Amino acid sequence: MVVLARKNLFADLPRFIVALCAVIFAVTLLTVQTGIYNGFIRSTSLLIEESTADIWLASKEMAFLEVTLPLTYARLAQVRAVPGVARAEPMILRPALWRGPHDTLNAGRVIGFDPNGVLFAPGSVGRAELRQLSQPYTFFADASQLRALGARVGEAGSIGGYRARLIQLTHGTQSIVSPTFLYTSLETANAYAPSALSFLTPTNEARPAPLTDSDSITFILVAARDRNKLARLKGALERAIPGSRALTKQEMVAMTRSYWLQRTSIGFALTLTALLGLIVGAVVVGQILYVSVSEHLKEYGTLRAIGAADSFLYGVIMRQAVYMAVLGYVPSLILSFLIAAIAADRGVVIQITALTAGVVFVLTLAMCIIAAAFAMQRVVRVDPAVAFA
Amino acid sequence: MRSAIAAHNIDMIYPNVVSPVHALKDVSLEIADGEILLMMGPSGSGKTTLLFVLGGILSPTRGRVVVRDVEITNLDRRQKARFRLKHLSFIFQGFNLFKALTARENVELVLHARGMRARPARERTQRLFERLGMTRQLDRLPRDLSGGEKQRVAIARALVAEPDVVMADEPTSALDAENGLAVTGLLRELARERGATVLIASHDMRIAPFANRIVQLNDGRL
Ligand SMILES: Nc1ncnc2c1ncn2[C@@H]1O[C@H](COP(=O)(O)OP(=O)(O)OP(=O)(O)O)[C@@H](O)[C@H]1O
Ligand SMILES: [Mg+2]
Repeated sequence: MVVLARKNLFADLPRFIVALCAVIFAVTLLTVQTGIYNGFIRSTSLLIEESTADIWLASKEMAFLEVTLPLTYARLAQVRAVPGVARAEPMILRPALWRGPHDTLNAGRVIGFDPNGVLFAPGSVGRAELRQLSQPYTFFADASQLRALGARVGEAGSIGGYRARLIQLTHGTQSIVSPTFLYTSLETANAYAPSALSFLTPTNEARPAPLTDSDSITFILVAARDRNKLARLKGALERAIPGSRALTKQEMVAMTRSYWLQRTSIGFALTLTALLGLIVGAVVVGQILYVSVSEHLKEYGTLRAIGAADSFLYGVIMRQAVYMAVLGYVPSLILSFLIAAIAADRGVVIQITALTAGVVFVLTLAMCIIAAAFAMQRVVRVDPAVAFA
Repeated sequence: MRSAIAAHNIDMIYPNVVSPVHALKDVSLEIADGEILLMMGPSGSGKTTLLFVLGGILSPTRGRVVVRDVEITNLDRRQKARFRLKHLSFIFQGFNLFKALTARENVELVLHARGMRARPARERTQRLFERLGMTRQLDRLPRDLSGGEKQRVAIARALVAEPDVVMADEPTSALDAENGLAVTGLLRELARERGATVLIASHDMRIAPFANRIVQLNDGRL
């Protein structure tokens, strides 16, 4: 049965290759779509994942990461005083307009954090490099954003009327749905606070002022003393800071992801295309298995005349389907990783996890086996009399 | 002597829409265990149809067929297939070898279909090819075998599972005279060794000396 399945399948090599191409097309499409979905989802919450904070404290009106109301800097000291808080660091996240050295305009998000802190760092930038941000009016940005910024490392443009020099690149830190992330020190971010007035009349102080209690910040990142008691700490924080909302890192991630999922319907769009790919793959595989049975009708008739059981005949077709699935799956996975690597160079994250690979394999098998159903129907209906024709 | 096959009052009408064909008319036939029966008759006389009916491939319009004490005309499609697998085998006019499989694999396939494991199937096939003096042809594809060799492989395939009855439809028509006789002789020899009953449908008169008995079919009548 095994030999017959294999040899009959490979006997017509060109046709087998066509079938394989269909499988590869469908499976690669499925893998890449799933990878894009994963990458997209992960990308939207990248900033949150980069933080080691257990809890994010924000205004209670927060819609998601990038849409919220400010807190005052004075809250930081109050948070630090809450029992159970091991560490608290402020973060500023604000819309900003970047004007490049060659007058390129670009929407950005200024992300101000404490370069000497421990609860946030963009990507894998080291502590020593982070400290460069202590230089006034400097920022880091993701390598994928150079074109959008219209600037090279070392060049300066302006944000909110202030000089802003790009001094270092980060890698794989940019959310693909968000405006360009501009990582700065807290003080610089505070200085960049958008004000129509300052934009018109550039002020160029040598060094931005340290934050005062009345300055506004966006989040307070909290490390808990005891990670097993986050629920209680959240409650304590919300009681201590009126008008605030405390979310665990996971909750913050979930909130942001679900915002983008609903906002973009990307899940639906990607599922639809992946499904179409699977259908095309199934149709081609089904067609080719069916034609293969039709062309070996006399052989299958002979098997039926001999008295081979239906299960034996099914087994032959089933094995052919499994061969196609397995032989199509492996190159598809390699191809998908290749596509992911090429896309990564362009700043598009296609994330193929072990789970994705596993689920895709199951779907590939299912696709081929469902496709084989037609051929199996055909093969059990073969009249043993054809063997004598 | 016990009868291997007994057919009682067989009528076979092919229900053609335009004009039904009455291919077998009240055929009764008994074949003894171990007998080699040659069924002769002109083209269209119903030889193949009778083989189909006796082999449980076609259900007769009327009448009963008993093979080895089992009334196969009462069996359903699956049961008939299982019965054939266990007790019957066929040799086809055009050999019907699987093109993509080697001689050895063609023969092993029958044993695999019967649920035999790869190892014993291989050993048994090997022994049979040795008996046939065909060990050199074991790993050749059908397209690299002569007509006579192909039919020998087909005979090996029919006999490897040690069936009770072997049915051959025009086994020599694709062979030259010399090969035709040699192959028929071989079939008789192997069948004798294994005590198998053989039923040959053919209009090749030269086969006659190999048979124990000859029946003549004319226009569906014995
Ligand atoms: N599937 C079928 N449908 C209708 N009529 C059929 C069918 N098969 C055979 N027949 C008819 O039944 C009759 C007997 O045919 P059969 O094939 O049994 O003859 P045969 O003796 O084997 O002939 P040959 O020597 O040419 O092989 C013929 O008239 C044939 O046309
Ligand atoms: Mg015939």
